[in-house]
Amino acid sequence: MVLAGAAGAALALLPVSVFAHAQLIVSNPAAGATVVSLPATVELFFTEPVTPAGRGISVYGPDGRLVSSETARAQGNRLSTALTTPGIEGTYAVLWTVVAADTHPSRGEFTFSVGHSGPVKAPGLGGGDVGLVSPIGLVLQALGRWLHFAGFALGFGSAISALFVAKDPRPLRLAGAGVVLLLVAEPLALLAQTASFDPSQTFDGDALIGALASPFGRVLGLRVAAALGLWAVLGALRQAPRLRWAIPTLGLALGMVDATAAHATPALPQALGVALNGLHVSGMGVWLGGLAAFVVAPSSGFGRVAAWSAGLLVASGMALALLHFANPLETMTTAYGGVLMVKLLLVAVALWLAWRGRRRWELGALAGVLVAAAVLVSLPPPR
Amino acid sequence: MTIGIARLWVQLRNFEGLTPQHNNQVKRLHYAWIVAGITWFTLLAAAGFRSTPAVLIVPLQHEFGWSRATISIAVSINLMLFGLFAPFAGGLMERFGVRRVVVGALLTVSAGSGLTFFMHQPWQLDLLWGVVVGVGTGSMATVLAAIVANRWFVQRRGLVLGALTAAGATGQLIFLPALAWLAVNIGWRAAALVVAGASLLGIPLVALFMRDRPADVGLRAYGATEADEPAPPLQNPVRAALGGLAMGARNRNFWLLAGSFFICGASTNGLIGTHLIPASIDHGMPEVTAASLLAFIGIFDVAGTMISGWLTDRLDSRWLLFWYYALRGLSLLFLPYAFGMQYFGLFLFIVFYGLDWVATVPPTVALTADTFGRRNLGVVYGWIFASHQLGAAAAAFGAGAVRTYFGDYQLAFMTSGLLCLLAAGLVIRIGRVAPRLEVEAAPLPAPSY
Repeated sequence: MVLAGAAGAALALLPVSVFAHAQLIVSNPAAGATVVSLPATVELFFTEPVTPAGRGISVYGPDGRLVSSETARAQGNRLSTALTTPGIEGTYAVLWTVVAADTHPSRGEFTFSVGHSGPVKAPGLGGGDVGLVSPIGLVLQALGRWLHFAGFALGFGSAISALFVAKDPRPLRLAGAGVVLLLVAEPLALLAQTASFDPSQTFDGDALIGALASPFGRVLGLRVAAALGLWAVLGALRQAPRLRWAIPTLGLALGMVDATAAHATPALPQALGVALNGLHVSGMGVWLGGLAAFVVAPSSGFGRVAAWSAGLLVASGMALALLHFANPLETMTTAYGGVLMVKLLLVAVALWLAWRGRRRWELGALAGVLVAAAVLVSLPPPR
Repeated sequence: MTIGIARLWVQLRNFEGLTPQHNNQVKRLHYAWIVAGITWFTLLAAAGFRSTPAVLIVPLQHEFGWSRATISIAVSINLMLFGLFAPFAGGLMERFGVRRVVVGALLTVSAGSGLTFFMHQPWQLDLLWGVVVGVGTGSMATVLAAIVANRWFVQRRGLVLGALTAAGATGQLIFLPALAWLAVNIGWRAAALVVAGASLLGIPLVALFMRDRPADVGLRAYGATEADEPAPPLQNPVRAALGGLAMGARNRNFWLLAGSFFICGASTNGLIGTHLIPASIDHGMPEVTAASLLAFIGIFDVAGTMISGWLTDRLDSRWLLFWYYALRGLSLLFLPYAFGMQYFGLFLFIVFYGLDWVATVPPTVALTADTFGRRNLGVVYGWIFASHQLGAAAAAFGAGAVRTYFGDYQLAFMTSGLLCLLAAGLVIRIGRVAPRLEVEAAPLPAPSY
């Protein structure tokens, strides 16, 4: 019961607002504009509140020198920086890197000219961005999330299955492996965060510390806390079997932490969106973790649990998918839509395998679903 | 002569009572309580002496222009020796007796602190406050508490240990406002001389009333049913200390206890004890108020540690530690938010954290005694305590580095909160040991420690 209180406290401490990836709406000076003289500040307006990552805004003059002040100032959706040197004429490059309240990184660049346009000498972002971040950053993000989801399923799902359904301690070994995955996933997620802004700064001390200072750092801390808490409870189980109730409590708390770092649903009230996301993550954990436990030590009760959790998973997933698309065409035209289609296909395969009772193949298909889910969370949704 | 005074005391009590001999242990104040009281004051003072450099940092910086890094080296040496010398102090007490070692330690502290009056070079600070005071206070650290509680008490041992330990931890906190006031208003030399003087004053007190063993005053340990004094072992103190380490290192429980105690030291002395004041100032709190916060933690700590000692006599120590560390971890994770909630949040933190400050010590000592036997408790616990101080030194330095590089303590607080959760997982994995014959089943439980 103390743990339940702790979980509640952890929830209360989470960032208040939940949004998806920050996207630039408009700037002053506008992208591509030509102005008469260099303005005193550069302002950027985003789709949602942001915090600067690193400098936040870097403005480079026509001679390639940095002309913006140390760190950009954020006020809600507005990010601004003062320009230090009196401007020479030519084309200026603006590079921005921000973190949204849901911990997702995004970056971008544009140019404007003073007097006349000219060659750009800024150290560019190095193009080819996928979903507002560098490609290597996206890959690392997806990998970190996959490890985290797999660790969540093994750590909590397998333990719950072993303790409440099968009453068989053998799958608890999987829970230990889940703790390891959860702990490995977090440093990777941290590197993914810095690599998303600038792959050459992946291991840069200032960049890493900046990432930890952002809302991302707090979510990372709570995730590690949940993993360590699970490890502590697993150690205590032998002496106090009643403490097993702490595991679903902690799992639900972690599911909610993950939900705040997942894509929010602008169409729903915030609490409802987080609850829906949390249910989706928890359903995944119970199904996948239970399945892994079943493969290690088959038990008769699993079929019913699997059916319920799979039903919950599909229903909440459908609701979330519908909420993220403004029109059906976006499933074809956006990267997000494409990955979602692949995911749905894999879910159908997994369900079919489950129907046929091919548990090991079902486990493989679900691991594939998890890959699609990890990529989906790393991509900006259409809305 | 002093032994004579103590014997006289016992005879006086017997005479006043005018009761048959067998009633003695029921009715009268057992001499064990006198020893416990003297030890309590000694530990309180020693802890106060140890913590003094913290309030001298800024005045020294002003007078000599030394950098904070330079001064911090002395604090680090001091914190580390406070722990690392403990195992050897345990060996010295075994060899030369508690009373002589404590008197020697008080002399050492007095000399080290008094000589700083003439100091004008950084290496002198490192030598005096770092090495000399570190060794002196380290000789009176919690090893002394463990030895006194185990030699003099069979019943109420957990309670006594809790009270003594609370003195050792609280002393590091409650004198800070007064010492800071002295250093700011009169000068840091005044604070140093007060420490030297207080240390000298303690010497006659200890010399007169401290006794090594109950047998020295013709008594048994409090609550012991029959007298059985083992011959005092004559062993080289250094060999005894290293032997304790060798014995511990082969045991899994030792590493679990030492690991969790490392985290304990890091999250108390090292992090909060050293950095709560600057962190509070960072958040706009006046310095005096900030120093008082720590003093309040010290006050709540007394209650928390006494309760913990009482609980240790009744409950499974591993479970106590499990909850202590888990709750401490959660309160540290809460601290960055507490600063945002102004005084209410900090007040909540102080009550919670204060109650938990050294509550970990009585169960840790009890587990060490269960695993290694009371005979070896002194030297083995000495090493576990050394791990505590290594953690403290590491965190004092690490948190300072985080603050310098990061401009904020959040990362340090969160990290140590997570470490406390790790410690909760460590302690619950301590194996249950079969109670040792010499501890539980022997008909004559007369502890050598």
